Amino acid sequence: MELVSLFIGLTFVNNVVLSKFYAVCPLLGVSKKPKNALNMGYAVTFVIFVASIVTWLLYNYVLVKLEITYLDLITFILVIASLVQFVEMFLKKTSPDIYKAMGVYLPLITTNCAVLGVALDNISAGYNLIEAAVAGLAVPIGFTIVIYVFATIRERLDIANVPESFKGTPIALITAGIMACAIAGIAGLV
Amino acid sequence: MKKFDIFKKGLFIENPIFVLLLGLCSALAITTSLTNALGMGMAVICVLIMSNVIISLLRNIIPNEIRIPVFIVIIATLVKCVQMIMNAYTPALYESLGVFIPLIVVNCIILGRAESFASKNGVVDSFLDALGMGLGYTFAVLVISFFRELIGTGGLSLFNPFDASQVIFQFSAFSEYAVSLFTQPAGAFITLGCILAFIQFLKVRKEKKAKNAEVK
Amino acid sequence: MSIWAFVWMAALVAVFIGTYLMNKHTPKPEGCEDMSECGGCNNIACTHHSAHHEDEDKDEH
Repeated sequence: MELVSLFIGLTFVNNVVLSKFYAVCPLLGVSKKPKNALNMGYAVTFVIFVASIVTWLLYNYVLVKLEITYLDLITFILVIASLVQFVEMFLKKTSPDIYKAMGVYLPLITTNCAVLGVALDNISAGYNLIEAAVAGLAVPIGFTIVIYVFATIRERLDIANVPESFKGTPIALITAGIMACAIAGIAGLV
Repeated sequence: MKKFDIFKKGLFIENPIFVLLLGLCSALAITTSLTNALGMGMAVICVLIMSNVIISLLRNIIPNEIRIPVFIVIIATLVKCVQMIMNAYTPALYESLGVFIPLIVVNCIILGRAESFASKNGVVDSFLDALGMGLGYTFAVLVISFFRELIGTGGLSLFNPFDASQVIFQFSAFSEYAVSLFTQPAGAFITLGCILAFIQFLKVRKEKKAKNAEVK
Repeated sequence: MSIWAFVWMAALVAVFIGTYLMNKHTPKPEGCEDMSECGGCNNIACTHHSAHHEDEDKDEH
């Protein structure tokens, strides 16, 4: 039951984009077509899930054991970056179809704040391995939902009659603000 | 004169947040108060100057093919140092900025400047570029946090980043009419959206004027 | 103790640079070469960014 509330809390209430501001850049950059947004979401989900488990294991079984926890940040960013490179290479070699659909978004993920943010949050929140895995699933699902919804809204915005000054990024940011209001409405849920 | 141009371009013409739209994550998250914005700005300036100078010094040693991974390693090391220093000397700020200090690593401004400027230019130029870009970032987050704090709490306050008990200034003008939405995440998006719209408005007006002048 | 820190760092950096190079030298499957769509986001860490491909261009010339 606690895991369910952790999941819902991280997916909706503390949504990664709209209330923690991780991954705002891909929100504005990639999400113009709903289909691309979904593919990006799958790629991010996979990477964050694997990264949050790997970084949790490395932190608790290597860094803590060797008493070098001050290397946490450097370890995490290097592990995430290597992981992304490896997955990209693996997909290129084994399944071009999957690479075509979601692999092209992988390189962008290295500097997606969400991946590093989840890894760091898992440690600072003191999660155990199962909780870290749940967080590694809930956060990117929240991300995927938001970028998908956002992409569908932006598709309509392109044909809407927007004042010239607000065209493009400004109206996209204000849209995100209104979505954040909606998320804030369920703040007391968990 | 040219040196001054390098410094100046980061402030307005190529402002990392308002024009290049880089590093928005931290800019949106930490702009709840002027104090936080100032502290984050200082942290970013430190990291940016150190990374630009170090990378500029090492630019002929780093093998070209693996330069971007090397930059990431250097930046991560520097950010960790800044994080530890802030933990020691500005504990209140460290607490309120939280995870956004380590997230400077993935801030596109730092890596962007390292690759597009420091790896091609001398130490002095790289230093000036970093200072300009860092001040541009600080200026932008201060502007955003100015509006958010003013509208969200009805007043403004600034504390000494190194000593949270020391108040530099503090006033409250209309706290009973404050719109607390602006201190929340939604307010951050809306504030930045409006500021960008204002910048776009100025740009469009300038272009129109230039066009009219051409026609005449 | 600090010797482990150096060993750990060296191992991580080696793994990262190794995977980066291996990935860089793996050609993209057909139909994926064109990433012209991805010009706008200024995100330099993304390997689609032109910064990662400069040296390949130089080799061709």
